[in-house]
Amino acid sequence: MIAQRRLVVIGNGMVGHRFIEEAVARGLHQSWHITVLGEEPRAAYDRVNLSTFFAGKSADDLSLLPSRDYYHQHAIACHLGDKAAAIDRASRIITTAGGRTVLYDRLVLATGSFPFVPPVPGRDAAGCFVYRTLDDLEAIRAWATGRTAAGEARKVGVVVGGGLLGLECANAVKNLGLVTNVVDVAPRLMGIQVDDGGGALLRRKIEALGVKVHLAKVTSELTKRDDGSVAALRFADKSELPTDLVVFSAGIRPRDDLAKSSGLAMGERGGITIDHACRTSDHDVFAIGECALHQNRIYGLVAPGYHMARVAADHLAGVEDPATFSGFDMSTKLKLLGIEVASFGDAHGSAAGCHQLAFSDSRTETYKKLVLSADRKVLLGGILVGDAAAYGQLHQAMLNRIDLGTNPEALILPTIGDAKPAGFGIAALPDSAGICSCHNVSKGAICGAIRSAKLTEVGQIKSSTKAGTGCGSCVPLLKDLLKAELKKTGVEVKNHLCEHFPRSRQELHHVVRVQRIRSFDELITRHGVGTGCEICKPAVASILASTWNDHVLDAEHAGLQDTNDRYLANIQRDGTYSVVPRVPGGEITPDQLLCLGRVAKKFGLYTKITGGQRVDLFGARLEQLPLIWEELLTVGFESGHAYGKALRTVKSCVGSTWCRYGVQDSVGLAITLENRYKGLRSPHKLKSGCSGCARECAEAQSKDFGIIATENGYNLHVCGNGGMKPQHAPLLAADLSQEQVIRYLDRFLMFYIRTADRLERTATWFNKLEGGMDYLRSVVIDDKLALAAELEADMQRIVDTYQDEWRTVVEDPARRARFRAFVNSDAKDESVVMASERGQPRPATWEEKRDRVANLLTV
Amino acid sequence: MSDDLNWRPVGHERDWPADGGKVVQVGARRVGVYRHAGKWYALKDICPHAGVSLAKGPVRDGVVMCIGHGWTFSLASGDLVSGPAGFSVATYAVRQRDDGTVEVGT
Repeated sequence: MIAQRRLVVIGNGMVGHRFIEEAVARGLHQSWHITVLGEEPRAAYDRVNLSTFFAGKSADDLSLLPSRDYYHQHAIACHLGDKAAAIDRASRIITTAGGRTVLYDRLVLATGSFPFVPPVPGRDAAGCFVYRTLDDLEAIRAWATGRTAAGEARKVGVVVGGGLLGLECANAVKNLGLVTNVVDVAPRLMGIQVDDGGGALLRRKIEALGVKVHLAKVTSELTKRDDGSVAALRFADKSELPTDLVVFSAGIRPRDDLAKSSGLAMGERGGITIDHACRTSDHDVFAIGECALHQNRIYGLVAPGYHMARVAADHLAGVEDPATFSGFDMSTKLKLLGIEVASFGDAHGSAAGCHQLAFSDSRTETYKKLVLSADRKVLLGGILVGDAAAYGQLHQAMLNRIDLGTNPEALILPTIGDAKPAGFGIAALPDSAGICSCHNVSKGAICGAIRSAKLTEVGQIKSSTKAGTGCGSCVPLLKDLLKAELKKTGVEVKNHLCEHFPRSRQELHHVVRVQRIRSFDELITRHGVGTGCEICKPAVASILASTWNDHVLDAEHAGLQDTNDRYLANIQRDGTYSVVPRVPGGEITPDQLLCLGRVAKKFGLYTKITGGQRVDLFGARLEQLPLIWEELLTVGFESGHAYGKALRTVKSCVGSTWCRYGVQDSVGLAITLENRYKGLRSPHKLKSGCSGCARECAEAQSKDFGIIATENGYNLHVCGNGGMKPQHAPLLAADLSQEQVIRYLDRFLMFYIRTADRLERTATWFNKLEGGMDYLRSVVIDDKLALAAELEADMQRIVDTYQDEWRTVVEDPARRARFRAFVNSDAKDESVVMASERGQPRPATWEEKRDRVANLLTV
Repeated sequence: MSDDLNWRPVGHERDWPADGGKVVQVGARRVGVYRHAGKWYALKDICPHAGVSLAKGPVRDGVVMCIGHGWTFSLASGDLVSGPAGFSVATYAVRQRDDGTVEVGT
């Protein structure tokens, strides 16, 4: 037997780990014995998103390992917390700080970089940190949450460095709750990526977030307090900035001391010299990532490091036509402190004879710049600040040298009216165009996968090609590709509601209203075919309800309703129902609270507070629902529509009546709004929030419509969303009176109800709305479609015809008769069995209930 | 359908939604009776997995989905359509009389 060859990787950062994944993908773990040495005690984690650690992410959340035992699974030896101390290249032996000796045949150095700390006096003061590892973050947190010698809480933090890393670090310091300052010697932020115009806007936006920015400041000294902790930064201009904490994040330097002492060739200013195959001056030793120097350049981003990992793995595996490293496009799109910034190609316009086009808008707070070739035909680079949605397309246009035509301005100018935003058809890109640079996936590969595997969703493209699973910036392009490809292959993207109605939901809504159609039967007779299905029936029921507002359990509507609407309650997994009475604005009287408790005890219900400031009563049997409601009605409760695609709650904070910070009566407005729109049926559920001040305790910006009080009135936000894909609600209008809020909401909600697709939340609807917020404003505020009066009248009719669905049921014996466990008997439902947990009922497990229901099984 | 069966009325067709199930009692038995795409079906109304009433679940494409864990059963045969193999529920004969009465045969 031939002894297995030994491959050793020093470093287990992002690039070191990626190399292992690339090696496994090529089967190297089967032909080599692979050993990983890492200095940090943790396996590889996501350093790019390090600041999320202070926003609640755990070290586990940040882990890059596909599974906890990934290395073990692939028979890779992994020694963490043991720093490689020396390499003896003559004998090919590595010794570690812990005294381990490891032999190698091939060696990969992925030792990364360390943060540069400017050599200023006083930088050794306690309370000075760097920002690189999770240990650094833990130390920063411990210090920030500790107390000064005088026993005071630490309040102020300074980040030295206003570049990409510095701003990411500022986000972390801000997340810790400290007053955050950013200091840089340069006259603008992110000097490498953006120009003066972009930098100025970026500064404004960052300052609006409460981060103080100090530019063109040369730090000459850090002063200390008596206990040796940092007291202030003293600048060359003699001014001072007092602080409790300093984090240096002013660039990186390659960690090359190990390579240097082993005699490998180095750059003049550090970095391990590599060739196109990522080989060092020793044929058996590779270097990848931020420790490597390629043609006198260090690449301080993760994408080029990943590419080097691929190149080294290719060469070690001896694949045919291996990838090579020949420099890397440093274009990047990122979100810093929530602000989108993108920079690509020749962002500063350094090419001879090039033209620059810039557009800056202080209202939408965006800055866009394009750098064009001398003949204005080809895009050479650009900068986007505030709104980087166009990055994917522009970047592709640059990489593929697409002819921009005669009007390149249109690419960055805002669109007016109904005009579609300018852009290139995705069809213009050649098949070789790299769409996902994180995973090196081309347009051809993606389209091929869509065709051959008949993919119909972006999620499928992600799992099948890995495209879009790195930084995610190419996902919009994936969507466009999918749409174009499906169209090409003849899969027509129809908007028909279902096979029974050859019309869209919007068209059906229109005919129902205009032709005054009041039932499903009438609609399908006049505009559809067949008898309907589980898609069109609830959709039409919703259209009818939001137009005519009949009771959903009226004879001609009852059969159309979805499972939950059918019994005006939410069915749970054991076949019981839950009951949620409406609590407008979350304001509830003591008598109502007592009633809830009494009802829960009497019927043996589990009680839980909901996220929408209500109380949910679980475990009701079908036949109990009218009895429960009979009691709830006596203290003024009404249906909360938790079962319906309808308005749920308007959550509120306590507002100016009690709160010292409140500037308006948020509870009062929330109650007014909830009572106005309660019972409103819509394409999907509607949630709302109303906050009494900018602290936003009611989380209004995560709602379908949210109101935030200001000194001058109310700001109205719309189309936000919590849930699986959270989205902030953008501002529709500012400083409104209560009357204006109601008028705009009437229009907005009716416009959404009329035009959205079935089961489409406001956020999804908004994202598809051509023209975006400008268009929505033109409809809702400027009444460009001359619809406002009609929309308001439609809403007023719904408000005027409101009835409490549950009161109607309780008071009507015929409707009440539907609530029986059996069609032909009043017996109680024996299949429901409860157990007890934490002093409350819960559904019994099968083991717990098997004996009780045995008779049901056998007969 | 064989007339050896003992047909018992369990309700009127207007007690059922246009598409969906309801539970009836047939002696000591609990039976889920379904109207789906213009036809009638009847299944023993207890999911063999965790004892949940099947008829409360949504009905589509010839199957009913259990509200408990999403297993689906064929309305026609009672066989498990999706879920771990080896489970099924009993079926019964069901018919609608001309006057709208729904009957289950045992």
